[in-house]
Amino acid sequence: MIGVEIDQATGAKVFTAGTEHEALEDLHRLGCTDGLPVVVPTIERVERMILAGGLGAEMSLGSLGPLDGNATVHATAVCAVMAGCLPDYFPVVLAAARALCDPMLDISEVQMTTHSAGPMVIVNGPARFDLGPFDSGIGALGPGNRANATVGRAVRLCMLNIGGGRPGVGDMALLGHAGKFTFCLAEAQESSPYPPLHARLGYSLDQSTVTLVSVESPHSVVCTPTDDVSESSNRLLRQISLAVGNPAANNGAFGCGEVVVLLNPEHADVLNQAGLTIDDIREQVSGLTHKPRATIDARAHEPGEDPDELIGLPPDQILVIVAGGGGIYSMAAPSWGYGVHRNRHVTAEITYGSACEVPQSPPSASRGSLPSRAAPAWLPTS
Amino acid sequence: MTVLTLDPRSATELPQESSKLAARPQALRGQTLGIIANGLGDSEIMFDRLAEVLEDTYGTAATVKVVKPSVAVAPYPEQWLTITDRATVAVTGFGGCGSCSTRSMRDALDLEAAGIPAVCVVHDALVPAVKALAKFLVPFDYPIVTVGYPHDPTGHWTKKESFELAEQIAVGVCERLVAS
Repeated sequence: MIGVEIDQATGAKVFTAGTEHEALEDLHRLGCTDGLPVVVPTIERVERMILAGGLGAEMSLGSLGPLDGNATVHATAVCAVMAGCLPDYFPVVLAAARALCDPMLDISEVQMTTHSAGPMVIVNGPARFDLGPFDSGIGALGPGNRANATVGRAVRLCMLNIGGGRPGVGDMALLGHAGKFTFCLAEAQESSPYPPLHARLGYSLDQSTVTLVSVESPHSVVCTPTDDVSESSNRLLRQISLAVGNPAANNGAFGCGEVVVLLNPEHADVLNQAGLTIDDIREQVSGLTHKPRATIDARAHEPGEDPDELIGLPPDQILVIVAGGGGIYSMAAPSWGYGVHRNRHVTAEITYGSACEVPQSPPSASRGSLPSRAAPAWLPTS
Repeated sequence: MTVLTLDPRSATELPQESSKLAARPQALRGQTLGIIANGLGDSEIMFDRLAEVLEDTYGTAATVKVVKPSVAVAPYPEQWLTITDRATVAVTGFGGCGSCSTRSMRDALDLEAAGIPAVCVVHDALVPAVKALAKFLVPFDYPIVTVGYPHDPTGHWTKKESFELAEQIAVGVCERLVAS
């Protein structure tokens, strides 16, 4: 039996254990983990995390559904510690928590739906290097990068412990997917011929942001370009449209829900060389997703409905970023689309640089730096 | 050595007042029925018929209904005020999918916390989900009323089916809204 008591020094609820191993087993028993081992959130570790965020521990970032838990800086820091975040990453986790609490994200509904969507975290701006480094290249959505892995996991632990999204209780996904353990990457801004996502959303290039959008696990989009840029571009657009307009998924079947297209840098170059802007890509992919209602079998066809009505995704439901290694595979992540805001993306600025010094911070040699390469075409030269 | 571990669940504790049932009237006669409908499938037809049956059979005096903007969300603030200002007993639903069933249960529990006796109507397929959610929020087995197979969980029913369902659940709804 685990006894929960109030720590007199901090007023926080704590439970005691003889060893770290016992504390970890207690956390598993209480249903506070994602099933994998976590770092035990001791008072000292959480205090150190809070210091790195630069915000007061009791400050509320909003309420997180479905249980409307109060996402304080303290509660968020507990999850960041458990996820294995370095304190350096905490400003990113705080921004992601603010985005999670934004009603536009429909996170209560996303947690409670039987669909398997979960928020993908996209990091943009200098924080990718200053606070990570976050990976945007080969395998960015896979294992191996601590910042990607632990920030994505911290977001999930917030949803679980603050929002109450425990499987079968507050998270009713019939199957879920691996991205519901962790789901974070950075945009490959330096490899992209296009302005980065946050710039397209109105932020300046020296600002940093996280963008959350709730999606399924990404699906592969294969396309081998040739020297014929126009032909390659058209084939690539058709391939992307098949992935995002797949009539077996909600987006293609019902024409709603925001999808994410993750163009690898070579595919992005093909589209750019064909003269297409990001808006052009969204328009053309949207057009290609439309198909007659009669060809969609997600629901029984009802008397009176027009079999020739075209169902497809509108352009503003297609979010495009550039990420991954160069090659023949891009990806597309479908979504659910049935929150009151159609589970649209939410972007929050990452603020950092004003935090207290973190005791025993790891050496800065572990941090990344901007790669030295030619400036991308969209970057102002003046 | 003792390891002091911060409890990650602290943020989800609910206020104490949401942990009890509202006081039930002795009978439905003269009560105003509130309906927080989520619009799932054709369930509104069932709720409208239920209101008629409760009025005809048990003497409810009036009905006030709101339909939420989406199946999985809380009512708009003005919808919530419409119900809490006028209703003296209430039903919520229809819980036939993951997000709508658990949200309907939250609506019922929120009504209880506001002092209005409530009952959540859900499909048998979602009973484990709503029971689990209620168990997480209140320290007792919260009563619900269920609709079972062969009726479609997502509320795609004929008008005849909707009427039959309303007539079937009326007794259970009444039993859960009045003092035993």
